[in-house]
Amino acid sequence: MEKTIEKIFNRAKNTACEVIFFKNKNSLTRIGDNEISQNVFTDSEYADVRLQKDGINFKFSLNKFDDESLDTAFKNALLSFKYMKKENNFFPLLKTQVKIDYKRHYDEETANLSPAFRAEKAKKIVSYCAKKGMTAYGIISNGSSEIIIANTNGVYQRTTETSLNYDMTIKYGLGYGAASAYSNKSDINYEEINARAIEKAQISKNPSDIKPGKYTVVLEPQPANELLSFLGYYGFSGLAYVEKRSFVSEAMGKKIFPDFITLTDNAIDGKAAGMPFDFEGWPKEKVELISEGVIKNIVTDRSIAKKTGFRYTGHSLPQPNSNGSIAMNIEMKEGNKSLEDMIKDCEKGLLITQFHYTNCLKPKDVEMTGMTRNGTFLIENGKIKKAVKNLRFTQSAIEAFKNIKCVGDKAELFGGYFGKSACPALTIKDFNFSSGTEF
Amino acid sequence: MFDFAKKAIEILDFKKAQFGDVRIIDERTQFLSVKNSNIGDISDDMSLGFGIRVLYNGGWGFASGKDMTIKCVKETAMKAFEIARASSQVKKEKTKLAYEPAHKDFWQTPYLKDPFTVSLEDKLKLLFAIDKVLTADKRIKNAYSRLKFIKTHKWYASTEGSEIEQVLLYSGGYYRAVSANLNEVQQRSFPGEHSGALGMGWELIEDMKMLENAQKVRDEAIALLSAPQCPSDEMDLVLEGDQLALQIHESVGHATELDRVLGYEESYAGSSFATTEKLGKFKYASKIVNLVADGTLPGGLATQGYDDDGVRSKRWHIVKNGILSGYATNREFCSRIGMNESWSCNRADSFASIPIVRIPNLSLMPGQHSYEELIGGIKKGILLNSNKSWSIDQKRLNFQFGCESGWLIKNGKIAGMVKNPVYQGITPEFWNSCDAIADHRSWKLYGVSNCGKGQPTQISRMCHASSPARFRKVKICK
Repeated sequence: MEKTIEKIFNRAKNTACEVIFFKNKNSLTRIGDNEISQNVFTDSEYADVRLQKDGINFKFSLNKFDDESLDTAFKNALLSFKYMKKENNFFPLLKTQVKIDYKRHYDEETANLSPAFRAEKAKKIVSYCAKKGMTAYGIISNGSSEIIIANTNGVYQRTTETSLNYDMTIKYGLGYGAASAYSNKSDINYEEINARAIEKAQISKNPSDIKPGKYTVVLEPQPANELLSFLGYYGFSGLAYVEKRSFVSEAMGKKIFPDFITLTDNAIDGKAAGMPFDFEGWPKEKVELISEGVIKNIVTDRSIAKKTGFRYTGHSLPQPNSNGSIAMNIEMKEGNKSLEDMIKDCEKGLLITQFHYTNCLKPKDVEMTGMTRNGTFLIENGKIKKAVKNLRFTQSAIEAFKNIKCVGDKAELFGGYFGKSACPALTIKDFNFSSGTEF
Repeated sequence: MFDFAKKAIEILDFKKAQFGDVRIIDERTQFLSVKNSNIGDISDDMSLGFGIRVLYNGGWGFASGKDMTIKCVKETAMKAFEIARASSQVKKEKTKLAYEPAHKDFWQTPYLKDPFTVSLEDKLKLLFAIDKVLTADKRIKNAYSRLKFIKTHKWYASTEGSEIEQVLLYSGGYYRAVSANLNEVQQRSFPGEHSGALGMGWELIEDMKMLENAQKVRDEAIALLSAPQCPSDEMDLVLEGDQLALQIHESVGHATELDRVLGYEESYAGSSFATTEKLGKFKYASKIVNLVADGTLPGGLATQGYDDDGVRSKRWHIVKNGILSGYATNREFCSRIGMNESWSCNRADSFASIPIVRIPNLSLMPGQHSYEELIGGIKKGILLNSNKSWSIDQKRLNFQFGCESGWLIKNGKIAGMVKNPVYQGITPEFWNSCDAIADHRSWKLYGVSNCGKGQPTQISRMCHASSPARFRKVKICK
């Protein structure tokens, strides 16, 4: 990678140049209908190259780095400059920063788990399910990713991470159960995940009808994380704030959530830590988004910082970018109750295992809709009474966060569309379910 | 390129693979966007690589490589083989593929003007002209316009002797205006959140009249801020354009992907209510509804000569006179519904992805009514046409879709715009409530460019052509 970057810089000559180099190796074994249905390995690398000249950015991307391909790409890029006009919102490439070579989340064993290892894990759950009249579906995936951000001003940052994901869904009769784990190293307890998914499927075998309406809900970490992720994306993105598309635009400095709600974007040392610099190579800052219920900050890139007067927090996406700055390592401060205690404390409500196909209806209210999935249970007097059929929720995440009654004591790590997040279980009152379905 | 592919085939033959194929893909993507009078994105991307698929002892293996060297192709083939061997240890039954003759052929998307020959200057000029119109009113907080072009050159070779070369072209244009005040955010887009792309050349962009529609889009985005809230009620619904395309996509397209129906997507996207015992019997929709899948549809984003199983593209009914009549299939699963050959729906989104069953171009066939008759036949109803949010359950039954705006219909006439319309339903009930479809004069293609499926997630493209359709007694919510 270093040599390729050098080759690219050599061709840039007097033009300022930035390279974001991605290298990924990923394997995924998929289980469907009690067998391995797909099994893949992908090996990819490519470079996003940004050239700057006369107040203009031009980008190209390529995965071929021979002389001919590079020469053609540069020739086309430099030709393109003459058709383009100076940008109003232009920022020159950053100058040298502290060099970072981040490997905290790299684990050699995890990077190299073999097809045979994954097949063995698959065989174990599939064999059990086949004997018990159940059906297993899921994935075991592992891999490594490396990103280098370098520019001709001397910036050179590198991050290398591994990931392991085990996600299991079990079908038993008409019922489903699911459990999953995501980690940067090989510390996943497969048996525990299998047992949780199996237990939920067994309880869910014959789900009862339930009427839509408002319920107290105990959200396990996965559905709680769906709310958290939407709140983070629609609320604390720099550009949404500037353009007044976010509820934070009018709520900065105000206390709108309960005292025990604290959200932080923390790539440095938090539970959802990861790449500790942004896509321009600037070190990320730990940003308190909500502190004890008070809206405190947004995340910024250089453009957002200039427009708002907030500090540049190191949250730039690859530039130029029409999406602005996004929080990519959000964690929610844990409470002090276990999930079991949260269920015990619930007089009447629903325990939700997963949300499915969530989407935003009204960005400013962060009003969301989606379905429950893989285990929805009625709680009465602190005990799970029975499984119920799935429901559609239509609910503002802001209002849901205002109505949080209890935060769980164990945040789980999730890999998502925009980085990572860590979220504990939540008890929320008056959660709105708008309709039901047939299963 | 076929000489290169043959190296992989030789290795797979030597290792006695049951079946194997190689796809080499050379792709160029150009993407330009303008946001609030600034260049938002501008890129010209090139990628080249290959994917090798192996079936060994009934188990699948797939590996991709990026270096076009003999060493890399050998290593990648061996990796795919190793994975297939591991897969074969956890199989209920050995996978067998439906017969397909070996093809040696060339196919390409028909087009008039190659978009890569149009200068960046002309493309940016168009985007900045649209931006100027959208940003002329300060209540527009976010104006975004984009153009995207993809040329995909692929070579397919299999152990069965196929050698197929194809050149596919994608062109697309889109913009949106987002208005906001203290209380809310509203949006109008053109031609719709998911549409604006087809399998054509630059002539599509010229034909779309993007600039000519910009003022209307801007004004509607602003008008929505003060428009009345959509009422919650049961009423008649006319769907058209981008929204009807999404309705077809989510509630018929995904529901009839055979891998999904058989449970192979259960852990991620879900399964389907449209199970195989219902084929040929189940009343999916009212008898006027005909939904036709067509891999040969001119302009379709899923139109090609052959799929990534090496099967020639076909045309067939998914719903015929209201009855469930077919599925989207590949060579692996088609025998599970008694078919001897696949309906050619196996597609991968890049050289680094394994082909999976994807929604084909799937269109609602035109009906007998004029558009005016559709609207005229409603006492109390609403017209919806531009999607804003979408969600559907894991068996594709309970759906809820939100649109950018709605137009109330009273006594057969459009009575004014409302904001935040959402409608909800259960798939078969909804399609069985369809009592009128407009005729061929308003039948049009709508592209979907962002269909996600599979693990690892792949993004696929397809089209859903339709003319406006009327549905009775639908639940409309706020």
